[in-house]
Amino acid sequence: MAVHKHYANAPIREALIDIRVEMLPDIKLSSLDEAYELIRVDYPTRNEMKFVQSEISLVGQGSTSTKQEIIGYRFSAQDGKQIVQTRLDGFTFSRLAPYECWEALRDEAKKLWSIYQGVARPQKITRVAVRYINQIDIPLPMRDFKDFFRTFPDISSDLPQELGGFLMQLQIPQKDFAGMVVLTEALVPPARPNVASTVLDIDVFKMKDDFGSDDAWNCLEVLRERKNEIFEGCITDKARDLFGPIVM
Amino acid sequence: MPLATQNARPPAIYLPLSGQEAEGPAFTPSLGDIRRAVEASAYWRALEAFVRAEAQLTEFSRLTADWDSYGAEPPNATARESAAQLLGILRTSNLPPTRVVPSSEGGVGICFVNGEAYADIESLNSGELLAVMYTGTEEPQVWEISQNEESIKKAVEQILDHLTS
Repeated sequence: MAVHKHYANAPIREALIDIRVEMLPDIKLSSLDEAYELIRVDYPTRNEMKFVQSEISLVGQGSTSTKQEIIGYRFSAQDGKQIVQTRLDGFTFSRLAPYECWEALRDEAKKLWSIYQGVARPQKITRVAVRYINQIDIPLPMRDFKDFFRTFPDISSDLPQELGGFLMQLQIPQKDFAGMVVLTEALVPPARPNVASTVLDIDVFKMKDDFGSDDAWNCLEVLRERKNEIFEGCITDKARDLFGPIVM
Repeated sequence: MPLATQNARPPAIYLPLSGQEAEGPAFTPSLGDIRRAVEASAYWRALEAFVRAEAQLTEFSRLTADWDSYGAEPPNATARESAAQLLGILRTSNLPPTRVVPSSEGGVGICFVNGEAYADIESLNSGELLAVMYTGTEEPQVWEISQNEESIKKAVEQILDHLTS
């Protein structure tokens, strides 16, 4: 069942489309950087993405080693609201608030993906994901988080019920399309006075030995539907009231 | 739907303990995966930067006079409260600071760096707010910001433009 509600004040803070790949062994970072020339008009800010790895050995006297390597680039739009990552292991496009709609997100991601595909020539697509990060600001005072959330940590009634903070992550297999939902819910520092800010981070993905390009984009549509169902399934009508009327 | 009904749920099935196999590839997230999920998101990275900035600001209340051994005053409550308000506005504008530092002029400096572009806003013990921005060896542009939300938002926009141009 497709759930396509578009709230006037949707709590989406970031929407991401992520595609992981396997590269040919001879691919170089400089190839990823070639994308910059093709997108710099719309994405002028370029930053290196680094991977830092530390190792501690407890053998003998003990030793530590840290290595840092560049794994790709992050290109941002002038206003910082749209970001594309081109990495040796994949591609990510993200849109920060204000979020427009799925079609705009998907079409821009598709355009940038074809540029990435052109310069990086990935051998295989191994994982596709749709991830939406929502921040729901609940006005204070409130009675119970459960008035707003249907998926929430349960505290035994034998324990004190005051909650100073929480971070919960659930992995929920999606049997019908052999995928996975990683649902992260956390209380974060309030966005402004007199609200409790809760993040609902919904990451829906599917892994496969090799998706074809068309197959990957068709799969992203399925993941997006599931993301909507998960979001609606996690909240109550009282939370929906915070997001304003449904608009077409 | 009444809230009680919305909250009712059947018992959860934990697949590894139920003898059922999850379809599709196994997924056991490691700390590395969690880190990677944070790194992939501009929202989480910014949030992390704000949490770090607020923690740094809290630490400044412990500084004592001559903290820099050159006779600097520690940031007072006025400077710290004003800096906290500024961090709130920066969060709304999605502009996380690179660093928050005590100022040798007496106050708090909120600094931004993007490549060669630098900017900071100093929240001084006197209650004044000063903004500075420059690129490389350029002559710095310095101006005073009025203590109201509109002026602060305007200065933040100028800084954002400077850092991303």
